[in-house]
Amino acid sequence: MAHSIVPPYLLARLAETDAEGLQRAALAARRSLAADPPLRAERQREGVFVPSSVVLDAAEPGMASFTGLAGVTEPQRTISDAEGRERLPGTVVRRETDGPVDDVAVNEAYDGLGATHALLLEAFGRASIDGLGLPLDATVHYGEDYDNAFWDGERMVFGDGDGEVFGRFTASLSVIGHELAHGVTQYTAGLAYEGQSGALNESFSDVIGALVEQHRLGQTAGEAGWLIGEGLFTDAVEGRALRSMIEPGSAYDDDVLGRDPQPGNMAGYVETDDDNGGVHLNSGIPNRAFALAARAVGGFAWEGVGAVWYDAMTGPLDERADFAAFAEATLVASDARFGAGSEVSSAIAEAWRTVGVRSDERAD
Amino acid sequence: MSEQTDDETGTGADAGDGADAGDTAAGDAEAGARALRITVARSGGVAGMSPSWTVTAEGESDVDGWLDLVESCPWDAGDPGDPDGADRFVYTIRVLVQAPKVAGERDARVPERDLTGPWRDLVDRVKAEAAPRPRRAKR
Repeated sequence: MAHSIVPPYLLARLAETDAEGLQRAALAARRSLAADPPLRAERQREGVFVPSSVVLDAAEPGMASFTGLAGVTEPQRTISDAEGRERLPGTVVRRETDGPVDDVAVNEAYDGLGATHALLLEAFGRASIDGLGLPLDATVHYGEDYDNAFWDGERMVFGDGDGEVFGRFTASLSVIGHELAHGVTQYTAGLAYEGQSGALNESFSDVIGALVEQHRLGQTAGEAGWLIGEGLFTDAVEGRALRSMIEPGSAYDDDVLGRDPQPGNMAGYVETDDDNGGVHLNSGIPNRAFALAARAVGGFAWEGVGAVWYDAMTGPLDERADFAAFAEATLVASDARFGAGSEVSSAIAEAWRTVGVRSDERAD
Repeated sequence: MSEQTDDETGTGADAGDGADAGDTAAGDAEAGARALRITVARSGGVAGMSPSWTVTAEGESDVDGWLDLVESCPWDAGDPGDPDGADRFVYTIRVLVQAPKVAGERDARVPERDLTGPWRDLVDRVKAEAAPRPRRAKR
């Protein structure tokens, strides 16, 4: 058997890096087109006419064109049905103007995208994924016994679960918000999906997922359970959810699934080649920082710490940012929004210290 | 000895290379000389869980049946797939073989998007034939 001198996984990694470089260029071109969302919303509140329906030509990522004057602040949802196959996009089963259909997964996806769109717009003044009213496309009933939901770079995709461990993935609003938020990250910070930047990418999706649920329920940070993916497990599983932001590592403890492996502190940071460098494991660390800070501040999390996280993600953040760089970005954003020495800034600084990302003695 | 590979690769990897090696036929006759183990581990996905599936095979027909499938996979292709998106599965596939002409270990990391053709066939068959772990009765 011939063994390649360069192991296959390394070749794959190298080529991936190259492809990512190309992708980044395209995304950078797209990002440069995105207007400042808070400013746009501000103008709308002031009654200033905002040219809208700026759509990006799919064939030419760098090109924008004006196609009309319809508002970009309304969601444009299209739900498709993959009918158990692993082929996208599937058959369109519900469009924006359609009423509910006789399929709970379709309606959950539709409503969940609407709720996430509402959070982004009402809390952060952001019109959809790209800030320019990008249509929200989703596919349900993907694959057979498919235990996952994902963002493929253009749409959100939901499996029905295997029925033994997982039920359908649209059943959790936080998971729908999580997937849509991957789109927001793609159009903003563009955090590389690997290692610490990948874990930050994951964590921001959990943050938005949690905030969508809290926003829809009108929950304060103190009332919220800070669980991601609650209700996805079947009754056979010993677990509450996929993850706990406030107490990473406590979401499930099951004889088949094992125990929730998330760390909640840098001391437990997991070095691994799996899962793109443990992006779904180490996200527990920034997740906990967010939840701790939000609870310390109290009130609606999207108005305080949530707004700061959003500012950090849409500000000047390197796509390879590590936890420390992101922590710094949140403190800069918090000082800018709430003032240095504010309750929010203090809570955020304390939270990063608690999870071991920031120490007390910093030379800044 | 005219062969000079024993110092580094004397693990059986070259047992079949020298057709005139005296112990080949004898080794072939032993059931233990043909064995295979395949482990498929999946990571990633929004749930962040890492299930794995393992099959073992012994005996000529059984091992060769798996080897045909293993050999049809593009182990050295290094195809990266499209890195777009998030929460996709990543598969790690590891094969340990001990057989007269094929021996050693190979592994590959295959993103879900590239899990097509023989990769998909191999993973599906391993998943189907791996013994499921029994779930204890809930308290």
